[in-house]
Amino acid sequence: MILTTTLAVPLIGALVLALWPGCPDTFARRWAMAVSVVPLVLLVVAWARFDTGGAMFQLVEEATWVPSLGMGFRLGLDGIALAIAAMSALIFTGAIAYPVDTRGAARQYYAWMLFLETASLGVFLALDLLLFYVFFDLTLVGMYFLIGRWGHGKPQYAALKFFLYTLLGSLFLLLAILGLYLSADPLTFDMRALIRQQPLAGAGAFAGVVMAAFLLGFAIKTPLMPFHTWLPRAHVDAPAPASAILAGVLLKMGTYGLIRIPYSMMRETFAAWALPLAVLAVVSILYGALVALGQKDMKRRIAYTSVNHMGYAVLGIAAAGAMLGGSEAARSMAMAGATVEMVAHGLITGALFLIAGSFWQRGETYELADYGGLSGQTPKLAGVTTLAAFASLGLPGLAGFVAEFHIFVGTFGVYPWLAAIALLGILITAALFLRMLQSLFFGQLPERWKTMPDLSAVELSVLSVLLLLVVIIGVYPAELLDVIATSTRAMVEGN
Amino acid sequence: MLWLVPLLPVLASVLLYPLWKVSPSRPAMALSALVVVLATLAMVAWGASAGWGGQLVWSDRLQLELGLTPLTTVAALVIPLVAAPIIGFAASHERERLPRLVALMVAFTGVMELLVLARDLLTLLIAWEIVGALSWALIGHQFQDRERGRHASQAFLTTRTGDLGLYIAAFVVFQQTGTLAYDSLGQMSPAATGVFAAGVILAALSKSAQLPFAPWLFSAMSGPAPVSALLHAATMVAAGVLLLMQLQPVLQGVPWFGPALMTVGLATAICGGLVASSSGHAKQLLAGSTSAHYGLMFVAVAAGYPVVALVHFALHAVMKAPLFLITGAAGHQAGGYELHRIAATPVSRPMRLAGLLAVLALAGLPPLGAAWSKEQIMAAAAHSGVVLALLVALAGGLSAFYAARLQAAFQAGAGRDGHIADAGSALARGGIYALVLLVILASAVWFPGGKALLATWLASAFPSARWWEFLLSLALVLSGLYLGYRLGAKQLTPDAGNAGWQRFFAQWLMLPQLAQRVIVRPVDTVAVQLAALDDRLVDAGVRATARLGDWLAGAGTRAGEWLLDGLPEGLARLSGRAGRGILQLQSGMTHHYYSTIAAGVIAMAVILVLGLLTGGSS
Repeated sequence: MILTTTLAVPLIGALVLALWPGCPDTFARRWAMAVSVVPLVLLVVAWARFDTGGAMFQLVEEATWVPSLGMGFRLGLDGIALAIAAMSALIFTGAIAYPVDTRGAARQYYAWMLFLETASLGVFLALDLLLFYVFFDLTLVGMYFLIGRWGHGKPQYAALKFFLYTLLGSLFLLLAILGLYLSADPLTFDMRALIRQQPLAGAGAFAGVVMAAFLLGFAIKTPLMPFHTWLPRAHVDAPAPASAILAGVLLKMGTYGLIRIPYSMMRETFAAWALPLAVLAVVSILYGALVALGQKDMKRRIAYTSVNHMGYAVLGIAAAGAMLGGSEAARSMAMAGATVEMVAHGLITGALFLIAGSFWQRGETYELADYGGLSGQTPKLAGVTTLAAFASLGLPGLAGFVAEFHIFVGTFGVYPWLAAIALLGILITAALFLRMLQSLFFGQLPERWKTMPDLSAVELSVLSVLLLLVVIIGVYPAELLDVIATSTRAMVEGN
Repeated sequence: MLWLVPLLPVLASVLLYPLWKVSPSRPAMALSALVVVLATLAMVAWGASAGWGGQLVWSDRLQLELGLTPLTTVAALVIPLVAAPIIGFAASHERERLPRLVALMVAFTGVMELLVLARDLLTLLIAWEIVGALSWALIGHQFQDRERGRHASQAFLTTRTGDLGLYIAAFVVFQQTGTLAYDSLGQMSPAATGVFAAGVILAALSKSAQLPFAPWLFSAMSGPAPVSALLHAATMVAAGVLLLMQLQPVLQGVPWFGPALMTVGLATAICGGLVASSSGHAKQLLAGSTSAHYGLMFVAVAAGYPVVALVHFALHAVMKAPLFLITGAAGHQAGGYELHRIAATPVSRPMRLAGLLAVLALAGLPPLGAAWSKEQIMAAAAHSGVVLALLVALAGGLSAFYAARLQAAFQAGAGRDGHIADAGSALARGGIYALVLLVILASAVWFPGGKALLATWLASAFPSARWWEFLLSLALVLSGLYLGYRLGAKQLTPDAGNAGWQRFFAQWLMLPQLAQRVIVRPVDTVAVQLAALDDRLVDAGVRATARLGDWLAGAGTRAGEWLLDGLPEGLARLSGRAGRGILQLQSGMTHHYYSTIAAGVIAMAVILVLGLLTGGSS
């Protein structure tokens, strides 16, 4: 029942807030924080119970729902889902705890946050294709309201664009899911059965159409170039904690979906499509980094680095799925790297967006040129930002390096040239982050920031927890790699 | 257990930093930092005799390994030995944000130890890049000056460009052997070893400030003087040579390895010498000289004598560090590091004397130790070709020339009025004396039997030198010293050194400008253009779709609604009209009814006939 409870608790928490109109703001905040800790603790327990030598899917919970359609309420975890779900729960707790201007509607804000948590964790915990799709779409609803109501700039426009664009992706996804479902025999939405069956193996052109729809759906969510333009707008106008969740959790649904569905359920077709996907990933890596370098707005710059980093993750997935047999060592490295990248990107970019929020709370501007010389005025902010920036540019000893090193080593064993070209990405990200640090912290302190306060205790503790994990994973990733290996053994090496 | 060696300084700096911030007492800070660094030194010595090793398992496929070999033991000892006096000096002499500076320098020492102790490419890569990041933080220490931030980034990006080579090298090794351990490097195919060698050389050249990457050391000058001393003498810049020194047995199997490295090393040694000889800036003079001396070490590795490179590394470290510190002390007082400013400042006698000894070592004058290692490099080069040996001797002459220029600046201020430049405190002075003492002690290598002893300790063979090499080199050193001092003393005015060729060399052959024009600016332009394009073009497709949607909606409102709403309404109108028409049929007149029935019968007959016809044909 542990997974069902994980999903139920935030939803109940959200309902309590929704149904209690007179709820005071401070209570809403504390309540949401307390509630959001529960899934985190439960997932840590799940991690402890997870048998790294055991079956691929563990802690399975199943209830019949619509048996005539082969649909059921099925939850469960493999190593990859466990790693991402645990990271997501942490990001949610951090984002909820992070101070933000709720504009007198704290109750609604925290209710939507908790609702979004259930929907997001549901995506990673679902073992039923239709359930996966339902949660996948519900996340859009939560995020739509968070951006639209608590955003700044042109929040309505940003929220609508985000919603419609990603809903378009969901549409392709739904068609693809139906295509897959209708090819299964017996008809079922059970992910494990579909992985066993490989329903579209040898289905020729139809399998290609389904694969294209899946890739399009997930490429929009991830996002890969050229389907990424909803991202900067949504990020810039969203409140910082929502940005952290958008980048840290929602983007992962694209890459996670890629691994869980097309990679696992259509191995043969995926292998045929791996090379173009890898090329698209490399284009995203370089394009995302270059466009980020060209931004003058802090938050847009961070947003575009997501295109770059998620490109690494997709590159790893494509390399892992490039063939059905051979180069197992390299391909499992690539898959492990892609998973670590998702976790690392969640923590690092989550932290970076929260930091951007701290800048907004203090200065109401994201323009890099407006800041300067803050090293002396706000040393804690400077230290934390520097650490997060170096983590994001892939400095060894921090989580991003572990991810990227695995991905590159793995990809090099399959597509050496693509790995070598993609490597240029880490040079450009280094340039863009160092320039950002230069603009923010070097030079004379402008008159208007002479009273800027340093990070508060709450801000500092949230960021410290995220970055401490980044350091731990960077120095000793064995625990994480061990859990992931349970899945790669089954998914890449076939045992 | 060997993990303790890098961990101790790193953890200590993390723990001590907050303490230092709370109570920034200079002696306490200096003392605690010194204890940490010297404890590290003791642990290396202990670990080497006790045969320590270390391993950390990441996964089935990746593990980090530490170990000591005779060569790396020497390097691991030299690093804290040279770092300790430098850090002591920094703690008692520098002013701004001292806890941060000292903590970073202590941590730097630890990470550099990790780099030297690494026995696999993953550990190496980790240390390699962290060293770069820490150097970024140290170079940009004085954050109020935006330029320093830019310089710090320049240094990091230049070295990271080379790091990409190390990444590629690691990928190749994993692909070939399934591990990253140094021990398995020999199993690679010749072609793969070639790619590996190219990657490693790229990384080594960038870290050790060789052509074409050399100018990053100029940017690194933005850091405080002790930082320069630390980077140049024992840590960052040394990384490239220390790596190639260890991998030389594998790399020498690549046919082009020796010639390529020899060419770059010699070219840097000569060009660096010219840069240092032309520069009117004391720190840049020393930076050019650093590139040049590391170039000479590369020559030794290329000639097949990594052990000679190691000895020169150690001897270069002990003489370069005090020169930076003295220059720092003088420059502090002078308000800048231009030679003419230093010349206008009286430098205290003990500092001048210490400077003189280090300068003579830099010049390569026997019987100082660095002269011996330079002779060894020349002998090693001679094994590959006499011309190469002559070029090494020429580089040695240049070294004497620019070393004398620096000393001329120190001497010029003697006896002038004004505040006397000095290290400031006993501890800071002690750091410089300790280093100079090492310079003097190093002369012991000239003793008969010294070479044989070194060869046994390091388990390696040294090249045999010939008498004419020694004489030639001595002649060049002496004339270099003489000319350098004479010309140097004359050029201690602000407008000296303005000739075109001097400016060309003083700006590192215009390489920074070239890099700016060929790489940095085009990439920036592309980035800005792409960013605009991303807004306009890629998103334009999406916006066009949205507009299409709007238009369709509008069209729907106008045409669609007219159509869809009109259809049922029209039908209703039609049926209404039909109803009224039918009503007219009920006229009550029989002939109307008959004619209607007749029409109906005819219609039925026609239908029947049609049905029969079509039915028959089927």
